[in-house]
Amino acid sequence: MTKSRKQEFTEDEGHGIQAEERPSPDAAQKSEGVLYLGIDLGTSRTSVSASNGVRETVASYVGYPKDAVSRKLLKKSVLFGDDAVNNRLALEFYRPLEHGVLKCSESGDTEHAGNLKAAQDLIAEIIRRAKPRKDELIYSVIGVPAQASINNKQAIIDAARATVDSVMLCSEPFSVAYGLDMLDDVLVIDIGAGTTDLCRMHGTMPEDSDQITNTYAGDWIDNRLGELLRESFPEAQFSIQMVKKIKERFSSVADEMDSVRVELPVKGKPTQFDITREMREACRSIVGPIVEGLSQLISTFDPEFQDRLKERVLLAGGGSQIRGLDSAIEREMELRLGSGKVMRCEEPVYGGASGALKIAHDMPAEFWEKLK
Amino acid sequence: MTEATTSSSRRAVKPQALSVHQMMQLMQLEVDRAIEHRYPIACLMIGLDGFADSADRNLRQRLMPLVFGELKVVTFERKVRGLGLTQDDFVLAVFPHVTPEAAVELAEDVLQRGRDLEPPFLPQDRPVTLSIGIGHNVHENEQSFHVLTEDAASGMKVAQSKGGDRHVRWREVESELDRLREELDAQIQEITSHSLEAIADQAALGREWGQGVIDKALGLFDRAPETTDVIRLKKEVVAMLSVEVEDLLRSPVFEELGERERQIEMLERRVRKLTDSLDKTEGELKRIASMKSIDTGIASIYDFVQGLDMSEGNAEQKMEMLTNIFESNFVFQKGESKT
Repeated sequence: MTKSRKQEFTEDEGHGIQAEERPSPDAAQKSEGVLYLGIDLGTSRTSVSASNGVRETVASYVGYPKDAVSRKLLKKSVLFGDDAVNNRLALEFYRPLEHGVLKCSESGDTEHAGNLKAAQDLIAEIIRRAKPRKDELIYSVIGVPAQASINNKQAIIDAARATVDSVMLCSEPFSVAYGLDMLDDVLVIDIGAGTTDLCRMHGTMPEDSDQITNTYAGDWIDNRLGELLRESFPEAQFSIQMVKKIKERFSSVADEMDSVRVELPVKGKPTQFDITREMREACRSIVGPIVEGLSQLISTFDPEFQDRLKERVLLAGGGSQIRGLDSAIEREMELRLGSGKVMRCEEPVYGGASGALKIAHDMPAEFWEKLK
Repeated sequence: MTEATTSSSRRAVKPQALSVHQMMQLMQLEVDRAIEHRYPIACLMIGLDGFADSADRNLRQRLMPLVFGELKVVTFERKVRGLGLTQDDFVLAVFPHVTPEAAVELAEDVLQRGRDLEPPFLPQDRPVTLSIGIGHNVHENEQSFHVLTEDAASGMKVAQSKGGDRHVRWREVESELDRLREELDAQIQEITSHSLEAIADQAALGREWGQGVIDKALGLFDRAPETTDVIRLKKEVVAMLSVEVEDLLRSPVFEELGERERQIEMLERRVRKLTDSLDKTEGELKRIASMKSIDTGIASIYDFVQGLDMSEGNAEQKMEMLTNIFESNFVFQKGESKT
């Protein structure tokens, strides 16, 4: 996939940056190779897609052994993902991203420092998992929540710069749309763990008014399901991690869904519970806010193109795996907006990372050079 | 030199010899006079090396007169006057006005003449060597005939016990033993007084140390003759030192030392373990370092930077978006505006 033509960007005084097509002077040609990384930095899961064929994902948890004994037992100084979750009792445990943002942007206390380090270690880890070669240039695009603050962005860039040669941030739902080449008249619903991002694509770079973020996402469902289980089965013992795993396995909003039977301890004794109703209700709890956001974005769109927009709703992110969610959103859109057509992203886990990879690939060499 | 002999066969040849008892009395008078008038007098007792068994009695009886004859030759040559007698297994003689040094020279001459004796009745595999004990009134304790003869006798026995063919002055041996006793006393006092100081030097303590002290004390006896007195003295010294050392080792200070030594031993074991572990860790680090030089990364499919394919239908649209992304990042990262 080599390119015969290159683009160069020159600065023209008073006219900003202009694009010109010029013969490639080989200025950007590197004999050692170029590795592109597309990273999706999520509250619950961080994924990477790389131009060497590697695709990796890890739960966004970081843990550090509490003492020398646990360090010796675990044989590591830092654990990530499921490793960290499974050993969290022996760890200083961090989930450095919350509601799509780093939990370390505002204060200077110890927790802030811990979350910042955890975030940086997480980014370094996902880059390491892409198995970059030492002699290659590494150019990375990281998808961040649409409304990430400046401080959040700075922390992410600082973490990535330790490992890559050049890095750019972009909106996460935008990267999903870019990866699918759906840049016109598309509404992207990126349901993550911390946030659900809705992004209106209309052929140009989305602006703030084209994006809505709410917290009715995976974590919200976990908490809601936990509340419902406590109401229905007060004797059952469970943790939020257990609820999360149950949700990831059985999540559904369909009227006709398979029974969800799980075992939960009651005074230490495993006991079976039928939580079908609770699961359905918890998962359905995000539909309303999502459609509310859709309504807002559609209603503020050019009326000429609103119907087109309603027919091209793209469901992405980990939350898109909830069974029947697309149909549920369509029904709700039918009620509120008269119609609606929802498409599922084929790769809910790697959609954002793959889109970021494509952006990295398409980014001109000069842009990368200037950001080094 | 006047002699007395028990042999009756000589009476016919020489003027009437004195009896042993008479000679003894004369010798005693000489010694008493020397002590009274404070002039030197030496006493020699000469014995045959070997020939002590009853089976050699005949040979001994034939050799002793020869030995006495050699003594007479020496005294004649040295112009020394003396009184002597021959017994079954020794010759006793006193020499007035003979200094201790002269007595030693006299004894050495006698020893040489004894070595040269080769009587025809003696088998060739039985050479003659003599042992001579020397007593002298120069020593403050040698102030009677009895003591002089006793010292000479002790000296002769020491010489014989050391293999013969030598002379020994008993008082020198005894002086050496006295000196050893004094040194041991001083050492014991030093050990006692310095035991607490030695605690600071942990390497000097312990049972190994105690045995070392005893060995050192016994080493002082290396030059001493192996007489019964010396052996007894050695035993007394060993017993005394052993008791002293045991008392010291049982003391609370030594117990503490023992505990410290155990701690040191444990620490040394841990250090060895840590050293082994460190060696292994270093080896592992070296292995990992060597592995680090091996790039285990996976190569990208791109040899160089790509960029947007402008032949795509919506290339311009994409380029605008990409530019927008770049600009916002440039402003944010470089803090500069491109507008």
